[in-house]
Amino acid sequence: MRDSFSTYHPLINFVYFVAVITCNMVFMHPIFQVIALLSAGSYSILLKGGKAVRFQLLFMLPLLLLMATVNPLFNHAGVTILFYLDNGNPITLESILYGIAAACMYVTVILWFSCYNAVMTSDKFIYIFGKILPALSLIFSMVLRFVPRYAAQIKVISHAQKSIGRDVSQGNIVRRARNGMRILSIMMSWALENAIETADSMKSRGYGLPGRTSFSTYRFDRRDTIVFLIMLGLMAVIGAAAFMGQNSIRFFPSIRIQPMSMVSIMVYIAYGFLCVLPVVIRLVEDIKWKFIASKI
Amino acid sequence: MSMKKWLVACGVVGLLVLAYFWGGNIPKKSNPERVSSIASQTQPSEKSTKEQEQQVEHQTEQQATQQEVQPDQTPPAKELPKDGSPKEEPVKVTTDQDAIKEPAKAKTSETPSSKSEVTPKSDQQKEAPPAKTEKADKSTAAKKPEAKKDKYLTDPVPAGKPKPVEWQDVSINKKKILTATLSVTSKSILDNLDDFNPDKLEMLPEDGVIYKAQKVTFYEGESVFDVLLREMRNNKIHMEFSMTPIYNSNYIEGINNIYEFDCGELSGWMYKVNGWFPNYGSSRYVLKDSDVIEWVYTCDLGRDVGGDTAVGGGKG
Repeated sequence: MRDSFSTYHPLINFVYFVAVITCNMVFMHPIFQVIALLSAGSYSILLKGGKAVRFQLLFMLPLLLLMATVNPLFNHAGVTILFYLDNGNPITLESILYGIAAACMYVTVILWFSCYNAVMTSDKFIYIFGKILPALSLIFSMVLRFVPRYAAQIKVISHAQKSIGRDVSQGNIVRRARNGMRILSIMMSWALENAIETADSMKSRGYGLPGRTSFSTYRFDRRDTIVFLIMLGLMAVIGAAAFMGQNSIRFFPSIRIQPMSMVSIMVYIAYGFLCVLPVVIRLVEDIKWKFIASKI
Repeated sequence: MSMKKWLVACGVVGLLVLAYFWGGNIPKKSNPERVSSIASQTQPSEKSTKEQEQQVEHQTEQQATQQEVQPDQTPPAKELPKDGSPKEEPVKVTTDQDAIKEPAKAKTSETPSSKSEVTPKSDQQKEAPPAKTEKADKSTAAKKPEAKKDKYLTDPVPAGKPKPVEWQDVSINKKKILTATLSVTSKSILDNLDDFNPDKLEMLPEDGVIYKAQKVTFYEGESVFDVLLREMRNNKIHMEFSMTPIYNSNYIEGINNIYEFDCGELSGWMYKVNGWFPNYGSSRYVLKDSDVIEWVYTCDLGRDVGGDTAVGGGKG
C-alpha cells in the first residue's frame, strides 16, 4: 500500500525530516533517544517491510552494540568506577551510558535517512529547490540516485550477458573474472553515455533558465495546512523545552538530567507525537480505507 | 556579482576577527607583562656580572651565563674576541645549538628559565666568587656531553637531578619496600575559577586538595606513575592516563575527573619530586626512598605553579 505521508506536499516531508533528524542529533536525553529510535524503526518497517527488518537486525543491531561497547574502552571519564582494565584505566558507568546513547543516536539517524530516501524522491527535492538552487539540487538528487541506479543497471547488463553465457556466475574462475570485467566495462560506457545524454536533454529543455516553468502535481491543500500547523506547534513546544534545558543531559563527570515534571512529560509526549506523526497518518489512512472498503 | 563576492569575503574576514577576540585566541595581557618583568629582572643581574668581570678571572663562566640570559638578543660582540681561552669555544657552540634546537620553546618559556638560573648565581657572586666558579665549572663540564635531546625528546637534565630511566628496563624489587610522600592538589584552579569548566565544579574540593599529603609505600624501582596509579586505585579516586610512545611515558589526562584543558587551554596535570618539576614523563622517574611527590594542576602551562622549566618538550 502506498505510504500516505509521502503523498503530502514535499515541503512538509522535507521540513519534517529536517526537524526530526536535527532533534535527534541535538538531544541526547535517553527518553528522547528511545522515542526517536522506536518511531524511526517502526516507520522504516512500515515503508519497506521485511527488508527493513532484516537490515535492522543484521546491520543496525550489531552496529549499536559495537559502538556502545567500544566507547568505554577509550573513554574513561565519569565518577562511577565499575572496574579497572588490565592497564589500569577505569571503566565507568557514565562512559558506558554515553556509548549507548551515542550509538542509539547514530543508528536512529541512519534509520531516519533510510525513511527520508524512501519518502523524498528526487523529483520532490528538485521541486522544492529547483527554483532557488537549480544546479545544486540537480547534482544532489543525481548523487543520491547514483548507487541504486547503477546497481539496477548492472543487474540489467548481467541478465543480458547471462543469456549469452557470459555472466560472472558462468565458467571457471578466470572466465568469471573476465566476464565481470566486461560487465564493468559495459557499465562504464553506459554511465558516461548516459551522463552526456542527461546533460544534453536537460540543456535542450532549458533547465534552470529564467522564466522557465515546470509542471508538478503537488498542491498545498487543507490537509497539508493542518499537518504543517501541527508540526510547527510541536516543534515550538520542543524548542521551548530545549531552551529551558529539558531535553539535554550531561554525562560527564556525573550524569545530570532535569528531574521529571509535568512540563517534561508534556515535552516527551510532544516529541513522541512528532516522531510518530507519519506512522499515525499512515495508520489512520489505512483504517479509513478498510472502513470504506468494508461498506461496499 | 563581484560586489556580492566582496561582501561575502568581508563578512568572512569580519567573522574571523570577531572569533579571534571573542574566542580567547588573543594572547592574555598578563603574559607579556610577566615576560617583561622577568626581562627587567635579568638586566640588573647581567650588569652586575659585567661589573665583576674584571675582578673574576674565570671569564669563561661569565660568557656562558650571559649567553644563557639572552640567547636571542644581540650577543655581547665586544667580549667575544676578548678571551682567547680554548676551553670556551665548545661551550659556546653547545649553547648556540641549544638555542637553535629549541625553537619550540617560546620566548616566554625561555626567559623565566634563564631567570631561575641567573638569580642564584648573582647571589653567590656577592658572597664568595671562588666557590661560584667551581660550581660553574662543574655545570659547564656536565653540559658538554648531554647537550642534545635524548631519543624521547627530553632536554638535558640539570646537574644533580636524577636522569630519566626507561620503564621497560627497570626491574621492580618487591622485597624492598620504601616510602614516599604523595599529594595531589588542584589549588591553581581556585584562582582561575572563571576559566574552569562549570560542569566539573562538583569535582573540585573546596581547598583544592584531592589527595592529602601522606606517606605511601612502594617497591624499589617503581616510578612516580606506578605510585600514583596504585594510590588512586586504592583510594577510589578516578584517574585516566594514556601511553605516549614518543615520550615513552604515560600521560596523566585527568585525576578525580578534572581533566587537561578543563581550566583553559593551557591547563593540565604536572608533577614535581622534591620540589623539582622533571622535564620528562612520570613513568621514567624512578623513585628513591623518602622522595616527596606532588601532583599539581596547572592552569597556565606550569607558570602558575612554578614548573615552567619543565614544559619544553616533556609531559607530566
